[in-house]
Order: sequence, then C-alpha cells, then structure tokens
Amino acid sequence: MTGLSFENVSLQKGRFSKRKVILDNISFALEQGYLCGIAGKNGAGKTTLFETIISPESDYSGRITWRGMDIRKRHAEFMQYVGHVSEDRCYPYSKSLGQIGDLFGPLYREWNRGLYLSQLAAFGLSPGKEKGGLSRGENLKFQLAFAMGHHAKLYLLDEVTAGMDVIFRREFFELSGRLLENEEVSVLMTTHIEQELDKKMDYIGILDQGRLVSFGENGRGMDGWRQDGDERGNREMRGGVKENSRK
Amino acid sequence: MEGKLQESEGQISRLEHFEKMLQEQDDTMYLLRRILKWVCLLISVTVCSFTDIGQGRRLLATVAMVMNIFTMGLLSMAYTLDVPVAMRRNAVFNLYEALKYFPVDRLEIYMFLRKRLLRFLSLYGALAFPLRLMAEALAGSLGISSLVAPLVVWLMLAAAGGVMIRVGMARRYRKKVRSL
Repeated sequence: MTGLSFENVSLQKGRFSKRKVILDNISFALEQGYLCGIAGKNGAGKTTLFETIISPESDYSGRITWRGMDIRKRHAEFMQYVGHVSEDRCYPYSKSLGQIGDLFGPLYREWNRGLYLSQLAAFGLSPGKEKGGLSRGENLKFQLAFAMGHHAKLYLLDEVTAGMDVIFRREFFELSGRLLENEEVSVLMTTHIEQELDKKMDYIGILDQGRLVSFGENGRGMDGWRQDGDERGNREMRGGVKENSRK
Repeated sequence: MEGKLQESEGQISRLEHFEKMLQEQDDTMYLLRRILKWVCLLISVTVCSFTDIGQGRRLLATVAMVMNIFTMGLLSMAYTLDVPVAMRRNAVFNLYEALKYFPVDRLEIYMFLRKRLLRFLSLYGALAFPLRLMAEALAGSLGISSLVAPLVVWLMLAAAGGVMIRVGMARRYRKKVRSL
C-alpha cells in the first residue's frame, strides 16, 4: 500500500524578482514497509522537502497524500502518524525528557508512556535529564524514542546519521530494520553518506537544486544511479559529500 | 466544516490537559500566574466600578484589562514552553507556534482560547456587576466618594473572607482536637 505520495509538488519562495524555485515538480510514491533515502548536496532542498511535509503553513502547489489522504486538508490528523527526527526540531529546553513525554505525548492517540520510557532506557537516556543538556546524538535518540512512543507510522529522519559515530549508525540501522518489520511503517531519511544509500536503502532519491533527478528501487536501475541519473547532479552531490569513502 | 468544528470541540480537553500538565510541571510559574491573574482582576474590577467615570472610559478600561490579563496568561504559557522571545509578541500565535508540528490544528487552538476567554469574561462579569451595585449603594447611603466606595467594598469583602477563613480554621481545629 502506498504510504506517502508526492504529485507534482513545487514550492517557491520570495517575492517578485527575488522569487526562487525551492522544490521543482517533485513526484514520487513511497510504499509502506520500506526505507527510502533522499540524497543531495547542501542546499539541494532535502530539509525543505521535510518542512513542506510537516509544516501546516507550507504554501506548495501540487498534492501530497498519506494513505490517499490529502495532508494539506487534514494536517493535524496526518501528524498523528509522523515521527519527525531532526536537529532543528523544537522541544522545550528547560524540561526533562519525562516531562516532555507527559506534556506532548497525550496529544497523540496512540501514545504509550511505558514504551517511550523503555525506549529512552534502551538508548541509555534518563527521563530526568533536561532537554537542553543533551548532546546531538542524545537529542536524536530522544526524538526517536518519542516517535516510537506514539507509534509513528512515517518516520521523517533529517540527517540523523550525519556526524555520528559508527556504533550509533549501526545501532540506528538495526533499529530502523526492527521498525520496518511492522509493514505499516515507512522511513524517509535524508543522508549525505553514500555507503548508506548503497547498503541500507530500499529506495533512493537524488535531489539537485530542488529537482528530484532520479528516484527508484535500490539495485534496480538505481544500482547505477551514479551513471544513469543526472550525471551533473550526482557528480556535484558526490563533490559535496565528505564521507564518501567507497567500500 | 461543521464536522471539523465538532471534532475540534471534542479535542479541546486535550489542550486543557496539556495546559494542566504545563502548570503542574512548573509550580513557581503557575503560582505567579495565579497571583498576577487575581491581582489584575481585582484592580480592573475595582477601576471599572468607579461610579463617576464615563461609560466609554469604563468600557475601554474593561476591554484593556481583560485583554491584558488574558494575554499575560498565554504569555506565561509560551514562556514555560520556551517559545523564542521574538515569537512571544502575539500570544495566540505563540501557542500555535509551540504546537505547530504536533497533531493539533489551528481551529482547535482557537476553540480552546475562545473557551478560556468566555470563562474569564463570565468571572469578570460575576465580580464587576455586584461590586458596582454595592459601591453605588454605599456611596449613596454613606455619602463617601464614588472613587473610594469600591475600595471600601473590597476591604469589607476581604474582612468578611478573613473572618470566614478564621471561623473555618477554628472549626477544623476543634474537630481535630475532638478526634484526639
């Protein structure tokens, strides 16, 4: 079953002569139960793509649907299913992780406090720890635990593995593998790391200057995404990738 | 639209729960907010009970006071949620901003705020109207200034409240002694 679907989605920002195309006619569909990686150099539009999905104010043209439901029309309902993990995600700094769970968790229909606390413990985080005192890795782990606590069905992971150590990355992909055992769950993540695209993703999309220059199943045509896709875009992307030591 | 409205009304309790949790988690802010709310309410009710100010001024003072108290309550809520300072200018916007990426829609937030405002206005009306009547009666019968009359009424009410609390406490104390 199709989970998230983009149909000719475009986004422009700025006024008059400064108007700029941020996302250009993007179309793709992500089946439930799969992990999809979106790659692109800095400024290609990866984070904007996520912002377009989660922001209720996003002024895009085209249509984004979740299980056939137009997310613009029923945004609050759609957000029940979304687990957004990003460094930029705002939670109150002065509150402890337990308090944040108690505060925001009940806004979700399927909130499970016990699951959230056990997931925090599994990540080695104490519920008494303040949000403001978390390191980058701990912050991402906390957000993952929160998303799992409300039984998210669509995980939007924005650069979660960038700058993280090898152990965290391995743990993270083991975790996402476990999440995807539930066939209702889909994961859409952005990454800069080429190895992750090759080894871990079911689907790969390449963004370049707001255009989705290629999208498809990993290993089927997309195996050669470096050769078959938009050569210029891919070349530039690899140029922007720092951690591209080929296996 | 109607269905969505009903759905939102049903979901207000989620935001009420959210607010309650917020208050419980931040005791100091909660206490401060309650004290400020009551102090402002009493001042504004008293000001609006002065019998010798014009209807227009009274209305203006009432609206200004109500909006200030209402906004202040929401500002403290935004403060507790760590909404960035620049965003605190508009209280309604703040709550929306803090919950933007959560499964809460704008309509739900407006319904919640509307309910709070109505509750506040009814409390305000319940206090202001009898106070003004009492102040007018007092000023007329005792011949004191209409500016002082509402304050005298408040003092009398506070004294009566104090006596009631003393009596209540004494009764509780006697009960406790008897139970020993």
